[in-house]
Formats: sequence, structure tokens, C-alpha cells
Amino acid sequence: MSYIVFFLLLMNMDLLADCKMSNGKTHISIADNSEVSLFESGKSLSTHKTQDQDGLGTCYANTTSAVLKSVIPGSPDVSYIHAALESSTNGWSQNWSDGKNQYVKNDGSELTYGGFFCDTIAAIKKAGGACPSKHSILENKELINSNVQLELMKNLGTYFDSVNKVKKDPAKLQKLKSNLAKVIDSVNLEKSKVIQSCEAEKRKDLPLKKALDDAIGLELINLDLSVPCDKFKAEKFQQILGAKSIITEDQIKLVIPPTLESEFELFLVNSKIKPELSAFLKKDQKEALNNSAFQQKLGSVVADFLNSKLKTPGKNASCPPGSPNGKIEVDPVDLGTSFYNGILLQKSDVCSAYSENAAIIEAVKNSNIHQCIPETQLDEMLNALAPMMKIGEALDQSLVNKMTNPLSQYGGQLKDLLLPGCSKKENLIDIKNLSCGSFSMCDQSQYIDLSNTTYTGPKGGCYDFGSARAIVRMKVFNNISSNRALGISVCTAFMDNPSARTNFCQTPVKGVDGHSLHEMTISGYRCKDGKIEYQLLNSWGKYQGCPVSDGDKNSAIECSLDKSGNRDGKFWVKEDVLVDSTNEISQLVNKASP
Amino acid sequence: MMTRFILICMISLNAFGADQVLTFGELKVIFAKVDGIYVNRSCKSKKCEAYQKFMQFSKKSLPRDLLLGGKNPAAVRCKELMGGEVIIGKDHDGHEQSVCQFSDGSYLI
Repeated sequence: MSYIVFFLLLMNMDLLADCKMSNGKTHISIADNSEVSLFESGKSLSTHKTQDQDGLGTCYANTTSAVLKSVIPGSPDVSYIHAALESSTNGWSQNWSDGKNQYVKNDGSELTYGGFFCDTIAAIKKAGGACPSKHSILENKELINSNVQLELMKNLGTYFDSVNKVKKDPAKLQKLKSNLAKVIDSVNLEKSKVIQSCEAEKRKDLPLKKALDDAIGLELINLDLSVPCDKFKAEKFQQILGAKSIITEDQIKLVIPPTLESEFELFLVNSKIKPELSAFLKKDQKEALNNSAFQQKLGSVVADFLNSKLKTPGKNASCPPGSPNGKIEVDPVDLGTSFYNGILLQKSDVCSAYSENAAIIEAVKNSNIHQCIPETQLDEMLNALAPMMKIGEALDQSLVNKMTNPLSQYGGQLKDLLLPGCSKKENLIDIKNLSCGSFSMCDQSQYIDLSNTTYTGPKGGCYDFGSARAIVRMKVFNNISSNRALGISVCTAFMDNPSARTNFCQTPVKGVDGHSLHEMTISGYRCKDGKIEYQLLNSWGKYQGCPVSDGDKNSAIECSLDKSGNRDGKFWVKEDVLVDSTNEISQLVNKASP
Repeated sequence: MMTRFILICMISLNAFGADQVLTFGELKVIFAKVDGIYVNRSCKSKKCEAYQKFMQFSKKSLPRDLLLGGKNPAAVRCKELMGGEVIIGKDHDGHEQSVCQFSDGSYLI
């Protein structure tokens, strides 16, 4: 019996063993079931927002932006659209010299995507620095019209696809031209909508409007329309707001009537809330955030206001027994939070957001117009925008002239449209001191190496698995411990099939959906049951970022979850599976740092 | 302190409860989980295009060429197989998420 107990204890000890590793010089030990992540509070990616590259082939740029954020002092958000544009225009220009100027290997075949990390860094350096994402129209997602957003992304996606084929295929070239024009149309449409909106709204105090919008929106989201009283409440809101607003079980689009808005503002002024609010606005936001009494007071004011609007004389027959009679209760705390966020944090307000949005301001300035101009000056704006419509013609011209790199000039114009604030070098973040290095698992000498930053694997072959694992480990531990994320280029077979073995992406995997190269960000590591796992930040949004569907099993992958138990765009993957699927791993080091 | 705790809980519940809310410009769309996938709340009956197209196409392989550049496979599947449009929204905390929008007005995350 005692032998069995001893054996079980030994088994248990083995299961709970720490993860230990060494390269002969450095020894590292990670306690079992402990983890290190750059998303922990105070670390370099703690404020990073999950990205969704959608149909854009920009994974290398998404990773570049995350790694840059982790390396640059102060952890600023860096635009991935800028990184992608620079990479697709400047990053490869040295080789746009003749008819073979594609992303090619020396044997003439096309280079697969995925591992462009250091070339992207080189392209950003060449451009003068990284672009803060606050200058990116697309990444701010503050566009009024979601269809414009859709059109921009769709056409930009086609643009990035076309970049690689433009010289090979005249039909693609034509498509590129047409899509460039559509991108510009989309931006112009958005600009005109902003101006129309500002014109209509400029007399109003917009933060208050947005606060009201948020307050009602939050209230409606929390309703369950299958409950009679909630349904009644929604109908009352719909009645107050009018036919232009949409309130259904799953969609809420609010159009606050001017009368209601004015009355709301007047109410606040009369209640002497506005001066108090102004006083708070002058203080540090963090201090204000901690003032729950103030939030409650605001909440009460808004709730009283809404309840007064929703008040129905007499008994409402549709309400079940015990529910409020003839009066719809709005929760003051709930509304106070929303109201507070809406005003103090000034989120999402149409005109104020655009006022703060340097991208739009720059775009408007570049067009020699001003936001919220009188209608009489609208013609001037359209005239100013008209030259931008000639990009398509310029493309034709470049073909005629057989320019060696036709994209360089359009890339520049696209940048003006999509990242107008970053046309000025003073707005760029200097990254001259950053040193990039990509470490390949296999021989990469046949690839064109523009930046001389790729450290190739063994001549004519690949590292043995143990050596590759040691490289990945030491790069990850050294960089993560210094608060720096890394780029990793992988083949994606393991995401669908955990037992797929690709020998560093050298072996094709049949029957696996979309086995291709993909760049992601390594943001942490952990020791689980005595085995090392790595945390990968993907760029496919919050839910799809973890590539395992609910109900499907993938023993190599565990979706990372936020504090509420929802997916957060990251996942943990077992070391052996990741290393086997790794094409190359990239690090970015600040040479100026001690 | 207790009030702050309640407030934080309420914010959290609102943002990350069983139903998920994504904002697309002016539009807020509420998603509910059905059979492991998120569809807009009125699609819980499974009669919408979003649910039916997912069931039809979710396991269908995508050509490798369509995924170059590490594109989001769900976005590519939406456009190339399901006939939908991809739009990108943000959640309460500003995290991005693309969804597939269908002609009948239904949505799929």
C-alpha cells in the first residue's frame, strides 16, 4: 500500500514539476501553473486593443504594430495600416527594377507571405518613423457611416491583394485602379457626411447629446423584449424617439430628436449640473473616475429625466403584478455610469471625436476646408477634394511611363487619405534606435533579404528540433522578461489539426484548411503541468482570434479569456506544436536602452 | 467602495454578459450565443441566413490563395463562400471584431 502511495506522490510531483531550461549559460525556472504575459497590468501591452485584419493580408503589419507598442517607450498605439502601406510601397522598392520585381525567391517563384516583420520595420524606418494609430481613419473606427467603413476595408483589402499582382496581370491592375477610386470615394463620402452632421449639430452641446444617446442605448440593451414590461418600455422609447430610430430585439440605432435633446440640456443647466460637470472636467480624469458620489448624482439626474419622459399616467395593463405601476423605472446607477462615460470620457461623440481626430482634421486641412463649414462653402470643399480623384489617371500615366515602382506614388496618396496626420514627419514616432532581427528555423539564403536582418537556418536544411526549441525559448524569455513582444511566423496547420507536423513549415499538410504562413505576436509564456506554453496574440478579432470553434477540440490550443470569461483574441499553444510550426521568430530591441 | 464595486460589476455585466454588444458606427447590434456561435439576438430561432449559412459552410475548406497574408479565415469564408459582407465593429472596450452581415439583415460573429 505504501508503495502505491509513494508512486502516486511521485506521479503527482512529476505533474506539478516546474519548467526548467538552460542553454548552457542561462538557466530559467518557471513555477508550474504560473504565467507571464505582457497584458498584465502595467506591462507593455496592457492597453493593447485586439485588432481584426478582416480580409486584409496585413498580418505582418498587425504584428509589427503590437511589437512596436511593446518596445517604444510609453507604449503608444501604432498604426498597422501605416505599417502595411509602407511595407507594400517602400519595403520592396529596391527590387522593383525590372519585370521580375515581385516578392520572389531567387528561383523566380513567389515568396510566401507571413515573415515580413523586419522588412516592415525597415520600411517604417525609411518612411521616417511609426505612425500613431490615432491618425488612422480606419483604425479609429469612428466613421459615422458603417457602410463607408465596409467599403474602405473591402477596397483596401483588394488593394493589398493587387499590390503583388499589379505587374503580372493587367486585369488586376484595372481592378486596383478602380478600387483606389472607390477608396477615395468612400473617404470623400465620409467627409461630406461629417460636414453635414456638424452643420446640423453645431448649435448643440454634443457631449450631452451623446450622453443621452448612450444612456438610452444602455437602457435598451439591457431590456428583454420578451418580458411585457420591457417591451412596453421599448415601445415608449420608440414613441419618444420617433420613427427614425430603430429599436428591435437585436438592433439599436438612436436618433435623438432635437426637442428632446434641447430639453435634456436645459434640464441639466437648470439643475446646475453643468457647472459642476465643468468643474470636474478640469480635474484629472482618474480623480473624477473615483468619485462615485458624482456618478450617482449624475445618474439620478439622468434617470429622473428619462423617467419623467417615460411616465405613463394610469395603470399599464401589460405589466405583470408587482411591477411598477404606470411608471417606468430607469436605473440611476446604470445610467449614471453611461452618462459619466459619455461626458467625462467624451467617448464617441460625433463632432468632438472628429475634432480630436487628427486624421480627419488633417484631411480637411489638406483640402483647404474647415469642419462644420456653412452650406455655401460646400462647393469649395468638393472642389478641393476633386484632385484626389485623379489618382486613377495617375496610375494610367505611370503605366505609360513604365515606372519601376508604380505603387510608390499611389501609396503616398493613399497615406494622405487614410493616415493624413502621418504625412508630416513630426507626427511620426522615431524608431531609428530599434534593431530588428529575424531568426529562421531553416535555410533562408534563397530568399531576397533586403534588410540584412534575417539570420538564416543551417545551409540547405533546418535546425534539429531541440536546437529550434532552444532558439525560440531563449528569444521568448529574454524578450518577454524585458517587456518586449516578439513576432512569430508560423504555418497554420496546427490551428485546425493539433497533430499536424510540418517540420518548420517545410512539409505540406493535406486535408487541413488554409495551411499557410501567418504572422502573430508572442506576448507571454507559462508552465502548465510541467510543460511550456506560449501566448500568441492574433489579429482576427476577439472571438476568432482563438482559432478553435466552440465544440471543437484542439489539444494544442487553449483560448485565452478575459476577466469575464470571454475570448480576448489570444490563445495559449503548446511549445512543441508551435516550434514545429515555426518558420521564423523576430525580435525588436531598443539599442538605446541599457 | 461597495457602490464602486457594484458599478464595476454592472459595467462588466453589460459589456461581457451572455449577450455581446458590438457597435458599428451609429448601430449597436446585440449578439446571442446559439449552438456555440454568436448571431444577432433575433436569430435565436435559427431561421436566419447567418445561422443557416454558418451550418452550411463553416467546415468547408478555403483555397490557400485566399488566405495569403494571414487573413482572418472567418472573414474570407464570409465573403467568398457565404455571400455576406464583412464589417468591423468594436466592443465596449474598443477591441475589434469583424462580423458577417447577410442580406436578410442577420449577423454572424
